[in-house]
Amino acid sequence: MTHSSTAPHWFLQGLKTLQKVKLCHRNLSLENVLIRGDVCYISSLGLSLRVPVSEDGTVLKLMPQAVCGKKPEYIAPEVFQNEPFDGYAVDLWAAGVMLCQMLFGGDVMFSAPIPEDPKFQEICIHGHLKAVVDKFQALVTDQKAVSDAAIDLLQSMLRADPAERLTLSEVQEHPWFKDG
Amino acid sequence: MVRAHDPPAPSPPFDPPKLCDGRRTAGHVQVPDPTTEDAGPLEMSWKAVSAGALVEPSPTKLRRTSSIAGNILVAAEKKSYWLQRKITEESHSHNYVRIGFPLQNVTMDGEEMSNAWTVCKAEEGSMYPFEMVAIKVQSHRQVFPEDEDDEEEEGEEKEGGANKQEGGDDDNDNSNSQLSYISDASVRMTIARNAKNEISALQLIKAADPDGNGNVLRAELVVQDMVDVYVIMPYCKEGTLMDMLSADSNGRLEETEARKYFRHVLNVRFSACVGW
Repeated sequence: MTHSSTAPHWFLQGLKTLQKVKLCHRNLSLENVLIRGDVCYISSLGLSLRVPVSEDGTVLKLMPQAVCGKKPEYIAPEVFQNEPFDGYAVDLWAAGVMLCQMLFGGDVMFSAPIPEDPKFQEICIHGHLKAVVDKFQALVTDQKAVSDAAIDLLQSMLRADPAERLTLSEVQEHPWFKDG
Repeated sequence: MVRAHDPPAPSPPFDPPKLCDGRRTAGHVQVPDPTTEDAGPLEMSWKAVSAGALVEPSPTKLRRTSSIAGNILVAAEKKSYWLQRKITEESHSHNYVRIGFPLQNVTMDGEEMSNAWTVCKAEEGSMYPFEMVAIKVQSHRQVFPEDEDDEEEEGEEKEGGANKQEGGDDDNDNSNSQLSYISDASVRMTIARNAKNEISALQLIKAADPDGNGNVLRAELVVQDMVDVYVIMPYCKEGTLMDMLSADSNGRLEETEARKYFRHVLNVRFSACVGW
């Protein structure tokens, strides 16, 4: 059961754990999250990498890797372009894509993170997620209301430029994540 | 935070995985009969599960009160598991995952029998009558191909798994002997690195998070015998998030549900982000 009174405790637990671990998953997707009871667990760590950290504790970008996940929509644009990447930012990209799929199904999503894909262009470069979503919502019959706060969070996670993308702590501070 | 002017760096290598030794064997497995009176509630819960579960073990196997069973994995520290059928190849990446029952040795006159086991009952309130785990089975050469390459060069793949010892199996579908047949050497190396890294990563997480609060599926035990490497993990009977979405006609979740799962997914990453 998730309600706000128990959530901070979890975060603390996770904090203690993974600051030591410094891993990026690189293959986060709906298929790689398993559910047991009412709780999800991330699985399939086969592509995970240890994130390099400089002597002063700064997270360093990773070199482009020969192998990445198989599903193009979850691959961050910088990885798709074979550029050096921030391991944490690519996981947050995938998490944003997952959230988008959970809220809207697959139809809102772009099929690949390339400028040639019109939906990617619209959402991630121009920042018009709201317009894309409104168009989609008008077409579906069973209305599942999605709040503006959720769309705002998604928009800030699905930014083509990793420097503009929300970091984990910023997502945690977002009203949609924190409240409700 | 990432500083723009720092050059990219290679990923630091993982520590080699730590494997505990085990062996495959056959022996007696006693299964409490769910149809007897004192086990009545078990039978009821079993039926409830069979109706809607995504994955279920064969009930006929569970009904047998006693049998000679193959496919028993005995690990060090007296941990034993009864390997059952394959459940998936996808949700746990490119390898086969089998369902398994943790076993405990039967005691007779106060002494533990070395080759007779019984399945463990599930905790109170569980949907299933018996405890279950997921066991990812990968051939040894898939996890550690460099060991093989040092010894043999040519023709080794043709024999792929033919030297397995799997005698006495009554439920062995021989599937893991096909696992190791990957003809392209570079693909084999990539998969191998992944398999090895995955075990290392799981052990890294387990060391840092012994209580399992981090929302990452944990490896409870990693066992090797002469042929295979077994990663024993909790069994997630509800399937994947994708399955959850597929249950809806439009493949969507309610916003509150989505937020709940999203929080779980991010929980692990919270701590991974240095600087907060």
